[in-house]
Amino acid sequence: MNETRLSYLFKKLLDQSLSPAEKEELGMLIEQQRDDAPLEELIQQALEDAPVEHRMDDQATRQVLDAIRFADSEPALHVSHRRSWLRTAAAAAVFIAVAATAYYYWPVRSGRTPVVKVEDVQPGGNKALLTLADGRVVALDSSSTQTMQQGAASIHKQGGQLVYTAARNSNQPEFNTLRTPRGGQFKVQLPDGTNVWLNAASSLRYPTDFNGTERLVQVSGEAFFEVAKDAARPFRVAVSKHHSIIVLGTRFNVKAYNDDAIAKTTLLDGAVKVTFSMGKVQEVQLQPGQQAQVSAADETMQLVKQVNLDQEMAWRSDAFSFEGQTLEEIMKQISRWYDIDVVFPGKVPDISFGGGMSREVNLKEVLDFLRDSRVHYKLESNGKKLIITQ
Amino acid sequence: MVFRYYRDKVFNIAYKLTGSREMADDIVQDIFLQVWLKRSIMADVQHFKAYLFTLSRNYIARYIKRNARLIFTQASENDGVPEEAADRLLQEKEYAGILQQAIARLPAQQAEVYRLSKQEGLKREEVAGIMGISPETVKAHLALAMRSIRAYCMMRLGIPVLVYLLIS
Repeated sequence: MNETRLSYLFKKLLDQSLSPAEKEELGMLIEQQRDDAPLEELIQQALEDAPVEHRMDDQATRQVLDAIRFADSEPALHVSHRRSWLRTAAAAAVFIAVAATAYYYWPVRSGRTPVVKVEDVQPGGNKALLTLADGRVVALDSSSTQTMQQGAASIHKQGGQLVYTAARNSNQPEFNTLRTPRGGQFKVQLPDGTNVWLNAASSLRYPTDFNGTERLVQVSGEAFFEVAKDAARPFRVAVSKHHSIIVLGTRFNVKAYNDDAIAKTTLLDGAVKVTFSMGKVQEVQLQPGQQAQVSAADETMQLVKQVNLDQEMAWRSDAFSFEGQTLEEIMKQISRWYDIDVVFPGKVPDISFGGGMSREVNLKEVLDFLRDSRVHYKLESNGKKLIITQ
Repeated sequence: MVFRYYRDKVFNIAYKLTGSREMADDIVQDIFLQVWLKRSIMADVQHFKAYLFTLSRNYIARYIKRNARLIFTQASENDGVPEEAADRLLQEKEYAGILQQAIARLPAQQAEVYRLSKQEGLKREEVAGIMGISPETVKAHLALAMRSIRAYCMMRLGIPVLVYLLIS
């Protein structure tokens, strides 16, 4: 009886429809309850399900994180300091989850004195190389606006993006390749109106006009596609000779770096079909929120029914996501974005991380962060090589 | 983003239940401090979300139970937190010692603002006049000082004490 009354009043409190009398009644119920479990369960449900309508403001967040740093700047009396590797790893992960918030809100921190002076490295930005059909290479950045002619198509560059406009009835499409270096990203709008965002160290090969029965492009590295609808000409993304994505009108992300063991296709909306033909021929049709994972080494393709889209799409919000990633995976992201080599002379520490951070900060911010997480490193070769020593 | 998501999830519920931004900020701070303290027994961070939610659920339940009278029997627009309970607590010897340590470790200006405001009981404008800074700066320093003291005491006194420790 009490429990259901509690639940009834609790729900009214959540949607702010309690009368003053009911509010007082709820307070009495909560204060006098012997068993906390029903209340805890209601709170748990609310944490999972209630829409987020109130957010902590940035100033309060900053103060809270400063306070935690303040409190922890000398060892607390009752915390024992037995350290095993596992503990250290967990500590690193939790700290990242907490501290990431701080970094996210202060991309530029002031008044922080580095203990060790390191050469700093700027984050990546809008940079790419465009290889034209005749082999000419044009360096692109976001600084200027220019228009180029490429066969029958015209290419307009504005800020960090290229826009292709095909002339009508061009009968000989030519192929261009847009390639981002490490530390670069770029956007291109293809002649059919499809938008593609390339992450660092990635490339996209495409015709200057789609005039066949299908629209075919080739990708390596990581790219996010917003494919223009055209039922008459299906859009296909070739990841390798054996692996392609047939698009039925949609937004999706492809992450297929050569140095990653697994190539991932993540669908945001619409529908795509992923095919993989190494070993036997396999095909899977994705629903939004699903991911296809292809391992060329194992000759397998797996369907992941529910992925964390925030995490997969973090790069499109100028952020790194570290959630559930190993140190090695995180260092790959950092290597690609800051254009540095990362080496592990010893064993790769087996740490799993949580949280994430902005990727618009200088490398030093990220390194401070690793140091706080007890990852030991040296930066050498004028800031071009990061050695993880533990 | 992932971290914002957790912070907002906890803040949102804390705010809806207490009706006070200040209390909700405190709850978020206390919970994230516990996450930090418990780091030594957390082996599997894959389950960070489940861990955080359990911890939050238990802490929020305890917090609103302890402070039920304050939260549910006053006018809902009251955003203030009374200080008697905490002050009483902090006057007891053990706690007073830790409070003094915390104050001693604050940056000088924050410590001075805290001393004048809390121990001398001066108004914000008066503190501003004495220190030659703006009332806004006084407010900011005081907020930071109180948050730092709260975290410092919690880390040393443990969670059960803290539920009572309404020092801000």
